[in-house]
Amino acid sequence: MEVSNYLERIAMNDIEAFNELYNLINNNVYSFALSILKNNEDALDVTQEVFITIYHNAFKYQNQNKPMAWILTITKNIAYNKIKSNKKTINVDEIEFISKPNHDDKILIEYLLNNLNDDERNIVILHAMNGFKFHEIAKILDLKITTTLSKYHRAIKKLKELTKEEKNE
Amino acid sequence: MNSIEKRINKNLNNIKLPKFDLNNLEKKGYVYMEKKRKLPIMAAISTLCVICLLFIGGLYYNNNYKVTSKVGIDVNPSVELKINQKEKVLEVIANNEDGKKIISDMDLKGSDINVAVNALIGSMVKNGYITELANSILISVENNDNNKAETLRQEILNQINMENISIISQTVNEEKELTDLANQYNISLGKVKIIKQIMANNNLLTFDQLADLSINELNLILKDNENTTGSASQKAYIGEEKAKEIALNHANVTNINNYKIELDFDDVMVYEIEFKANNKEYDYEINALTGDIIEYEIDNNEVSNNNSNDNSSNNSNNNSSIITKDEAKQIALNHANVTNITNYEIELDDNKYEIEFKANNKEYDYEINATTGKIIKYSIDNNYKEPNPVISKDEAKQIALNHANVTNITNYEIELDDNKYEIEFNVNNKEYSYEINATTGKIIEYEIDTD
Repeated sequence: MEVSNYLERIAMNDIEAFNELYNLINNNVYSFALSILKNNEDALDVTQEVFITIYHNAFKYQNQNKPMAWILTITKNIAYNKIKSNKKTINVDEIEFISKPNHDDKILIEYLLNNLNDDERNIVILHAMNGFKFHEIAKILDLKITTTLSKYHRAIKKLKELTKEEKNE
Repeated sequence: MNSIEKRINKNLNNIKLPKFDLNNLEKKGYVYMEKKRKLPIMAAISTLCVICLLFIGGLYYNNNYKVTSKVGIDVNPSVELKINQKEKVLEVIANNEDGKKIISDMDLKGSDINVAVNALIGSMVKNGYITELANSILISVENNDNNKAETLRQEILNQINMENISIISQTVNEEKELTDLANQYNISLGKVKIIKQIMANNNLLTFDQLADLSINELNLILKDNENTTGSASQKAYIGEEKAKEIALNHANVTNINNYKIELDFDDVMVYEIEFKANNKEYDYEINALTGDIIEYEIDNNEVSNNNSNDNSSNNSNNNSSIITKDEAKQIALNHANVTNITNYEIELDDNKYEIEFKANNKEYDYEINATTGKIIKYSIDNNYKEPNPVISKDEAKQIALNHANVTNITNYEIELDDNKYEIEFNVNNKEYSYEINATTGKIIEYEIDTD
């Protein structure tokens, strides 16, 4: 079932649909919130607020065809209101994983969160998690498509260099 | 997606997130409400609101987060309140910029619906949206249960404590047709419903025209609505007395009877005036803001058919016409005192000539007795504007095709109407329709229908 179908059902106060949607896309919402906030606790709070907002506003979604862009724009707006300090780094150990990631993966996530700049990190996470087109990402982040593309390529290059370094170590 | 992104995706999806069960949250209490609570900033709010907010400050937030009803308030600011079954406000949403201004930093969450409605109306008065010139408020209550909606509507209405205002109240349902229109015109569901109600009583009005009007104007047009309290202010207009004076001066009469006056809408707010004098019938339409005469019609009460009681005569009375088309035209032109005319049309019907033409940015209509040559009635519309299509038909077509990104089309049709091109064509089994502004070339509306 598509996200838009879930929204239609949620608009009619279907709580089951709401819970299913949450399980389906909570990591997409959380990851983007984490990308913006670089803080696990705050990202969890934002995720909860986003879903409550979805629950109350699903009826407004009608007649648009990009439900995930809509949801992640809500995420962005709520997360931006939460930014308290410009905390520079996040410790990946704060985050609870379902199964423990291997060493390389942990390094990758740490590097992704701490060594890319804000735009680069947001773009890569939106692209990797949601399969958006670049013009969609540009729209969510209020960036030009050209800027989005060049930042994306720079970010992927940085991440590739890291994995090489890791292997060479 | 490259291999690095696949790993990112895998790991971010591997993050464990807490269970989110609304059923559970409902039992435990609503976390969201608690976190969102702020202290009201009192300094900026009127005394009325301060009093209301003091109450709110003391209220506990409500455990029940489920939205059971929605209450819309429209003036020009448009605000929606979502409330739970205990009639406490869960959320306040501004539907437009003015609405945001009204809400400003009032925190109405958790307050009783009646307190919130009064606080919002107070803020509208304070911010100059409700004045003696425009005193109308539209309240729309939505609940899946119509009886509950109706009870809530009456309750809110009874609790509104303000004099010299006019309140239209109604219950609404989220029917698809209404919500589509609300989204399309970016207005509230309640306003859509009121406009629909007006259109049902007057099929000459279009949604397009009415969507731009204020609630006070809609209230004036709506007239005898059973769910309206108070009367909408006409103080922004010249007033009935002044309008009457303008019409009587123009007709150059003083002794009149069968006088009627009504405020109505015809592109602008107008006074429609009817009266009889000297055995003639007069109709005037006067711009309610400026006092300009938009249109008038004078009926001389001439009998059109000499043998109107003679049922034996056949329908084609052409034989009995004595004056020719040219003579009839000359009579009309002499009376109108014009020579250069356009869009001239003449038709003989029931022993009278019906003549239409345009001159000097006015539209003239005459009915002339075909036997006697006497003017039966005539009307002059001062509001006529020459269509001014800057864009040609070909250009309009190209704009539509470019937009649709197609080249091979069938069943192509184009029509210029009211300064806009209406274009229709098919591509395969899709049906495209466009409306393009003939002056600017801007696409007003388009629709693609797949069968």
